[in-house]
Amino acid sequence: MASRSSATATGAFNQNLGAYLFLAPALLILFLSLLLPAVATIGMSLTDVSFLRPTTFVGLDNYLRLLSDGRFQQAVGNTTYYTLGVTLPTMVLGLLAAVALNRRFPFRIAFRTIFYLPVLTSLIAAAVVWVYLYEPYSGPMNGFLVSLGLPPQPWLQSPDLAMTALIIMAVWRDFGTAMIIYLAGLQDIPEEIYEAARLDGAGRLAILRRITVPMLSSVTFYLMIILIVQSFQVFGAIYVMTGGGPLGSTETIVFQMYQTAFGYTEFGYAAAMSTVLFFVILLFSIVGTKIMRRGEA
Amino acid sequence: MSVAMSDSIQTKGSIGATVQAARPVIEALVGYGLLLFAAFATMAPFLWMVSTSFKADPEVFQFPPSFVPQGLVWQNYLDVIYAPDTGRQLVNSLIFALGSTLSNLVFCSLAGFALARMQFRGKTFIFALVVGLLMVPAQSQIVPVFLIVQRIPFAGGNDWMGNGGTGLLNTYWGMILPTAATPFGIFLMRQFFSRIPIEYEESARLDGARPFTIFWRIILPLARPAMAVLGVLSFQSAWNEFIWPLILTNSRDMATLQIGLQLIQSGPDARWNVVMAMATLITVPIIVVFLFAQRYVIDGAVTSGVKG
Amino acid sequence: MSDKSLTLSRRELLLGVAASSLALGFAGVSSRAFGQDQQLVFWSQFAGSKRAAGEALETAFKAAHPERNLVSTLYAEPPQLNEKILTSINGNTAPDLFVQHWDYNLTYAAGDRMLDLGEALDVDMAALDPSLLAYGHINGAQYSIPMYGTSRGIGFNRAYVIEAGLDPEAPPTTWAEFRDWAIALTKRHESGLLERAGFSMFHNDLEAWEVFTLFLQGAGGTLLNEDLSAPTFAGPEGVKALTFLHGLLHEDKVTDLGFGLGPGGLASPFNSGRASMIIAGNYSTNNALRAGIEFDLAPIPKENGGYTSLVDPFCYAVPRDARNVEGAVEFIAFALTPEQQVAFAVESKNVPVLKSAQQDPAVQADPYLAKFVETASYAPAEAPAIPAFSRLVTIIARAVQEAMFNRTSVEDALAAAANEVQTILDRG
Repeated sequence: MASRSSATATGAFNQNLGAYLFLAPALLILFLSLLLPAVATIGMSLTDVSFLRPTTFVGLDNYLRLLSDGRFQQAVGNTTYYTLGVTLPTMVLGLLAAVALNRRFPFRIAFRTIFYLPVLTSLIAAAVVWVYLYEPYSGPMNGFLVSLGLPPQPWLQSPDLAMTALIIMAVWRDFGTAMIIYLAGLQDIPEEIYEAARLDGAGRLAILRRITVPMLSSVTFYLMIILIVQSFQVFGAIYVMTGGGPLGSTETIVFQMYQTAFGYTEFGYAAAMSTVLFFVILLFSIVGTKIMRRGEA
Repeated sequence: MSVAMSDSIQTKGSIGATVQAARPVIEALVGYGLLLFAAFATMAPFLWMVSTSFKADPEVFQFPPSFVPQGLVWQNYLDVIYAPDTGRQLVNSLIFALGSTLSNLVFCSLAGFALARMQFRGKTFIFALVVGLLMVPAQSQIVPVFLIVQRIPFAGGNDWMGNGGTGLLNTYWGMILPTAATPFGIFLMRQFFSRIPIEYEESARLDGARPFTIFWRIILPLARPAMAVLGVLSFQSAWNEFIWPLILTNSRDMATLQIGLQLIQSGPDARWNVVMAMATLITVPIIVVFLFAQRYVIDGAVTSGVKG
Repeated sequence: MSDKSLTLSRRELLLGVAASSLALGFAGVSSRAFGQDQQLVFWSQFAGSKRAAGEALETAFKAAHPERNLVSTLYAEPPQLNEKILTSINGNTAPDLFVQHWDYNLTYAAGDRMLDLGEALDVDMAALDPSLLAYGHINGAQYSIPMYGTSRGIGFNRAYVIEAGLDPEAPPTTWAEFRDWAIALTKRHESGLLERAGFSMFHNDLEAWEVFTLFLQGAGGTLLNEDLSAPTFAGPEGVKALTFLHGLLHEDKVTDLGFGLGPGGLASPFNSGRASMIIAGNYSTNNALRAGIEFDLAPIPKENGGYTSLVDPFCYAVPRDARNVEGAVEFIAFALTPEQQVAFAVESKNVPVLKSAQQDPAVQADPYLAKFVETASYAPAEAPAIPAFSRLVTIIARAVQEAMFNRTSVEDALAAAANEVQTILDRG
């Protein structure tokens, strides 16, 4: 009895030790570059640290201030809307592109590369072209609407539409990344499963829905989390396009955080924003995971 | 666009089916047409970037923007290439991006393997921690990371407490450190490793193979598509990284191409055709890496040499 | 060098983090040793179109003072230099000297991190343009010294002015005349869609603040009271200014909100020939000319005659704990000599701070620069030199846009903004 338990203990110990060795280098780096700074950020959020003047402990004052900060709440609303708008379409388009380009046919490498180009395009170049696409007077987007008999829209110039316009651009920019991740995922699905389904007379849509999508669920889960995280932390693309306007309708949390920290040297208050953002992302990731699980069941 | 995609899937799938002979051809044509349309919509801003890099000054500001330049102004490229610091910046960018990519490939796959395929105490906690760290916004970390990099013990004249010197500031190591292993990479590898059926490693385990052998000989070769994706994404994010090279170095000798790009697009009166020339040149290495890696993405699990 | 580091890194990475941190130490030691000579470390923001001028200045200084061992690093944008300075001040790796947009310097000075240059510097302050100098003055000390400034005027497209039958040699001298010009220079499609803005007011927050401030001054108002302790922009002058701009937009329809929105100078409606007038600064010249616009400049009229303007200086500052204060001060004095001031102004097309350089024949020979020197002379001698300036800009810009979008009345928008500014000023 005693010897048996000690043997399993040694086995478990070896297995534990082996795993920890595998993890050690990555965890050390994450500890230095993320965990320690994150803990420091939480600490900073309880102070009025400016890195210029003497620091005092202020307790939860920064968080209380956030509760009455209308601009911050607007930014949380904007960013949430943006995230909801970007995540699902990016995954769907990425999946469809991956499935389409997973087959062998001429020029598929060219198409794959082309669909990946948006990520590689200079943000400013992309912004110029998109600003033109959305131009109310001569832009193709309104040309398209008018040809359908719909009224032209002011797009980026309207506080109600600007964020939607930016969401469309973000999906354009990101779906290529989703595509290559899905392409990698598609390689693991054995061809036999498809063969069997085809012999059973399943249509292509049925195959996509009943085989491809479920088989990719762990990849989809990854992409969903990544897209939620990245969308909530969006900053550069929006600032190049609209500078947060019109009327703050495209202002994001991270921009305010940056401005508060480096523009106003209120690092403590910015740290509180950062902490709140962390929990918002966490909440949405959990909700997203729940919805995904329910969809699978 | 989504319609375009699903149509083309139908087209491809129907080739094997035995219906009338003409239908697949028509479907293939429609499929290609829609793909081409999607491709143009995707490519337009990229084309504009390249086209602007060849424009003379007045044409840059033309509205609506022109997609075919009136002439080819190679001078824009020469201005970039012959700028005094460009060579040095290229070397620094390569060291930074390749170093970061390599360390991500190694560290993230090791950690992802442990999280996906090993049993150990605290596994759930560590996985939760990794995903949690994913959600930490980078912008709030600038000052803490700077101070940490400066305080690495024994580096840059520091004592064991990390005081007294400059730590890893102004070194390649310091620049790479914040990007050397990312929660994104660990999470990605964990997800892909966990998809590989357990049968693949069971026989090896019965033969008494050690975890590293299983990792190296069995799992890693099966995960080549995922490694290729991780490589592309790591290279690209390091290549485009701006903030850490800016914050963690002080001298012109350590500047990267992204810092050089910032310098030429500085101010409201930047020369945008030259900026676009540099932006175009900067994307070339990523495209090369992508073309190299995408073969592994797609053919990774296939051992035969059939080309697409 | 590169090959060596690459092979090194591969081996190290495989050996693991523990071993590599040792190697990191060595790499650090060598760079450290390099940094310990007596140098003059200068972080410059003379990038973009100022780059050549900045490099010429540094070369001249190196030739005149080789013993100072000047080492400079160039940063692209003020916010980037700001990130560097805020981190380095805390890591004790700050430079001996830097040149930065003035409002950041005030923030550092408010944290008592800067040297009082009024005392340390042996330069005749009376020879410098007071309206530029005012931006470096805070808490009774001169914490930063301008190198140059940009001034503001009405930039207009001569071709469009002539096309509309107006006389480009007789630009507006009152608000009423300005309004007539803006209306005459606007072109709209039958459907009402804007083809060419008569006056494109602003394309981002900073410009929204700027255009309001210029018209506020035109109505005789100021942003803050004399001792900078309270906002005054919501008074009758501010209401008049914003009402005038509101009228241009909604009644005269000389532009649309958000017209010309886009990245940096690349989307500028003026440069693409889609706007007849803008608020222009020295920086507007280069790209307008590159774009082939017949660019011209007029001073900004006040409501009932007379002109107004703004200046926006870039200033030197020296950290209080700098190791080489002597060298830093010498560099500033060198940069303020007439010779260097003229050379820098001519090369970079900016307004020199030295009054004698402003009138130098070489500066006056450049037609655009001469006009910007003239408009600079209309700028008030006082400046809203408060550390919270960047927040003031954000608040006012938002108020201006709220009124422009008809979300609130002009009075309410300004009053709410003034309240917010007061809270910040009281917090200190």
